[in-house]
Amino acid sequence: MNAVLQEVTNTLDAPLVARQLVHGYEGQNVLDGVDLGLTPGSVLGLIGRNGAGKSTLIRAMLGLLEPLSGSAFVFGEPALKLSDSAKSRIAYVPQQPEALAWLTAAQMLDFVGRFYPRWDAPFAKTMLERWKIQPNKLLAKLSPGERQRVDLIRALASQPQLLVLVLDEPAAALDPVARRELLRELALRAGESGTTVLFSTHIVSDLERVASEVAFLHNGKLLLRCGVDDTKERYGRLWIPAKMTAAAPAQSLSKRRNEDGSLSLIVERDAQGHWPEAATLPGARIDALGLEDLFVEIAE
Amino acid sequence: MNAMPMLLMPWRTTVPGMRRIMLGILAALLAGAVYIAVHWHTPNASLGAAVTIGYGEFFVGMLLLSPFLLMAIDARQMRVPRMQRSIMAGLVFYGAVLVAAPSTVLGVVGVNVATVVAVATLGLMLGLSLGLLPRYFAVVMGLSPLLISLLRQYVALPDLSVPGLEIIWAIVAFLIVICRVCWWHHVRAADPYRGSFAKPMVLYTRGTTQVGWSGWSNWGRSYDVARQIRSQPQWMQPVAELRKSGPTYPRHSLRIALGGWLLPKTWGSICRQWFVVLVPLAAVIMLLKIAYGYRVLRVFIALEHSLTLGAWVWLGGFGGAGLSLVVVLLLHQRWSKTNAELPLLALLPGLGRGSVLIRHLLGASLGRVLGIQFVLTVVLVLTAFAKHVDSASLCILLLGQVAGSGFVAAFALAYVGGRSLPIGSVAAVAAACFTLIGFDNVCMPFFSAAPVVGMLPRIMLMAAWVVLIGALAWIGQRGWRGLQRRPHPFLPN
Amino acid sequence: MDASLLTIQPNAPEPIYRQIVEQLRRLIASGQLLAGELLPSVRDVAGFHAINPMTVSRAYGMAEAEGLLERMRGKGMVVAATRKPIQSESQRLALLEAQLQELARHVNELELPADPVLRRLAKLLGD
Repeated sequence: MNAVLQEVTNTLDAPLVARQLVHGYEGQNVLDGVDLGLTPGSVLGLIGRNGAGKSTLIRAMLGLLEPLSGSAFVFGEPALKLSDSAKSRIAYVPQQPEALAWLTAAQMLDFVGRFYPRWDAPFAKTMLERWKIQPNKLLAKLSPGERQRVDLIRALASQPQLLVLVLDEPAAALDPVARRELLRELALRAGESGTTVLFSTHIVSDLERVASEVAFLHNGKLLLRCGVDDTKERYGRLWIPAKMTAAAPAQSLSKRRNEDGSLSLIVERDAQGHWPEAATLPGARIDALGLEDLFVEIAE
Repeated sequence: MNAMPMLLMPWRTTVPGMRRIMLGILAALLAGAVYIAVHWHTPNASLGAAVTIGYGEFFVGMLLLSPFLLMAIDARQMRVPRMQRSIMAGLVFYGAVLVAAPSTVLGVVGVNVATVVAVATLGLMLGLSLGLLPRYFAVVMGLSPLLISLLRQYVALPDLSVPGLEIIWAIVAFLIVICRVCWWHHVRAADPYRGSFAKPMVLYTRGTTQVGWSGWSNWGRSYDVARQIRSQPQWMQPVAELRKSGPTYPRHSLRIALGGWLLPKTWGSICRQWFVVLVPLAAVIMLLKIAYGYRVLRVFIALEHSLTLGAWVWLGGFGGAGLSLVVVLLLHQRWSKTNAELPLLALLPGLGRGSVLIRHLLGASLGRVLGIQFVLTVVLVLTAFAKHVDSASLCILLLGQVAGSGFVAAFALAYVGGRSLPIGSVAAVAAACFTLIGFDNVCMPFFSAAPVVGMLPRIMLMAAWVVLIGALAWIGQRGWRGLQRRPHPFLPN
Repeated sequence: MDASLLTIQPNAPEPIYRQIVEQLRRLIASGQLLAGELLPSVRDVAGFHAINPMTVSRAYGMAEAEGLLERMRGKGMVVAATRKPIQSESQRLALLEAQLQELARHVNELELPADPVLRRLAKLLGD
C-alpha cells in the first residue's frame, strides 16, 4: 500500500495541535507518531477503522491521558496542564457518555452550567424539549441514545470555541433526524461563531456534508489530511486494462490488481491539475471517487 | 442422579478470586480456633473456638452459598431440566462439608464437637439468610445485639456463656425453613430482579442483562453504575443536593461528581433512605423507654452495661471497615472508566490546579468517611475507659481503627495517584481486616467482662495489625508520590 | 427562491460547492430564477441542508465570479440582472457538454453504432 502523509504542523495559536504522539498498551502501539493540527474555524472529520486509534488520539490531544511520548497543545497551552480559561473554551463528548448517572438531565445541566462562564441555559432547555428528553428522569434510566443527546446538549450549551465529538456509532446513538439536526447545529456554529470542530465518525456522508477537512487515521498513523472538496477533486480511480498494465504510473496512493489482471489505482492530479499520462491510454478510464470509496481503497 | 453436576456447583457459582478469599478466611479463622482450643484453659474454650469458626461460616454462607440462588433462578428461566435438584443437593452437600470439615479438625484438638457443629451451622445459616432474605432483615440483624440485650429484661434468655444447644438448633431449624421459603419464592418469581426493597442482597450482584455462566458473581469487577441505580426502587433513590455547588464550592462539587455514597443528598432523600432503619430503631427506642422510664441517661448506661467491649469493637471495627470498603470500591470504579466522570472532571474549569486541587479531591473523597471513623474511635475509646479495660485491649482497639481508616486513605491515594493495584488486593486487604476483627472479638471481652486470653496471642494480634498498617502505609505513600508526579489526578488507571 | 430548490448529494464524487454552482447555472439558464431574484442567505442554505456555510459561500463566490450572481448591498445575493435571462442556444448547449461526452463514451464502450442511438434520442425528445 502506498500512502501519502500530508501534514502541516500549525503554529501555536491553533486551537489544537498534536506533535509526534505515541501511545500504546502491552507492546502494541495504538498511536505511532501522529502530527495533527487544526486551523481555527475549521471542521475536521477524523475517520478510520475501528481500533485505528481515533479515540486514543482525541484523548491524548485533550490531555485526558498521558501519552508515552509526544506532546499536545490546546490554545497554545500544554494539554495535560490546561488553565481554567482554556478549559472553559473546550467541550468534549466521548463515545457512549456515562457520567453522572445519578443525576437527572436537568440537574446535570444545572450543575455543569455553573462552571462555564458563557453557559446558555435557555438553549439547553429548548434542546431538551426539542429532542424529547424528560428533564426529571435520572440519566441512568435513559437509553444510550438519549444520554448521548444530553451530553451533546451539555457540550453545545457551554458555547465552546473548540468542540470535540466522538460520534462513532455503537449499538444505538442518534437517529437520522437527530443526527441531521446535530450536523446542522455544528455547521452553523462553525460558520458563524468560528467554532473549531473536531469529530470522529464512521459515517462518511456526515463528513462530506459538514467537514471542511478530513484526516484519515490508519493503524496509528495519519495517512491523509486535506480539505474535503480538495480530496474529491484531486483523487480519482484509474483503471487500466490487463494488457496495458506495464504502462501504469509508478506513483499512486494505492494499487490493486483485479481478478482479470487489470489494475485499479488511486492517482492524484499533478500541480497543473492533469491526471497522470496513463489516463490517456486507450481503454484506460478515470473515475471520480466519493470519500468512502477513497478510504476503502487506501485502507486496504 | 449424577453426582458430578452437584459436586461442581461451587466452581460454577462463584468467581475464583472470591472463592479463594473466603476459604482463606475460613482457614485463618480455623487456625485461630485451634489455637484457642489448645491454649485457652477456661471452660469457655469450646465456645470461643466455636464462635470464631462460626464467624467464618457466616461469611462463607453469605458469599459462597447464596449465589447458588442465582444459578437456580437462571436454570429455571432457561428451563434447564433437572438442574434444580442438583443445585439443592449441592447446597446441602457443601453446606454440610463446610461445617463438618472444621468441626472435625476442632474435635481432634479436643473441643466439644456438639457445640462447634451447632454454632458453626448457626453461623452458616445466618450468612445464607443474610444473602437470601429481603434486605430489611439485614437491618434487623444489625440491630440484633441491641434487641437481645433488651429482650433480656423481659424474657429469661439463657446466659450466652453457657449456651443451650437446643436453642441454637431451634434457631437453625427456623432459619432453614425461612430460607427454603425465600428460595422457593425467588426462583418462581416472574421477575426476580425487579427493583424493590424486598430484594435480597445476593440478587444485587447480578444485573438483568447478564444471564449465563459469566455473571454469577460480580463482586469487585467493574460494575455498571447505571444498572445499579436502575435496580433500586424510585423512592429510595438519593436526590443530589445541588444548592451549594459550582466553582466556589469545590469540595461539594467534587462530591457530586463522584456520586455514590459520597453524593451530598437532600434532607428529604436522606430521611427516605434512613426510613428503613428508623422504623425498627423507633420501635427499639419505645421498648427502651418502657423498660427504663424516660431517663435517657439510664438508657445509655443500661446499653453500656449490656454490651461488652468486644461487641462495641465488633460494631465499630466492622462498621468502619465496611464503610471504608464502600468508598474504596467507589473510587476504584470511577478511576477505571475512561468515558465517565474522569474526562468531565479533567476538563471542568474552576476546580483549581496542582496542590489545591489535590487537597479538594482528597477532602471530598475522604473527609466524610474519616470523620465517621474518628467519631467511632472516640466512642470506642470512651467506652473502653468506662469499662476500665486493660491497655492491651485498648491498643488492639486503636490499631483496628487506624487500619480501618488507613485502608480507605491508602487506596484513595493509590487510585488518584495512578499507582492503582488490582481489585484482588482490595479484596485481600478487606478480608484481612475483617478476619483480624474477628480475632479481636476473641481476644477482647465479648461474652464476659474480663479478657480471657493470655498476653501472647494478643501481642500476635497486635503484630498482625501493625503489619497490615505497614502494608497500607506503603500503598499510600506510593500513591502519594505518584500523585505528585502526575500532571493532574483525573487520568484513568 | 427557497433553499429547498437545491438538491445536495454529499456522497457524489462532485464536491458540494460545484453541485450548487451547477444547479444555479441550470436554474438561471432555464429561467426558473429570474433576474434580480433574491437568493437565500448562506445561513439558510447551510441550515436547510446541514452543510458547512463555507461551502455555500464558496459556491456563491464562484457564481458571482462567473457573473451568474451579484451582491446587492443590504439585501444579499441576487441573480445578476446584466445577464440575459435566457441564454443563447450555443451557451445552453455548452451546459450539456459533459453529459453528451459521457453518453458518447458509453456508446463507444458498448460498441454500438451511432444511428440507433440517435434515433432513440430523437424519439425521446420528440415527446
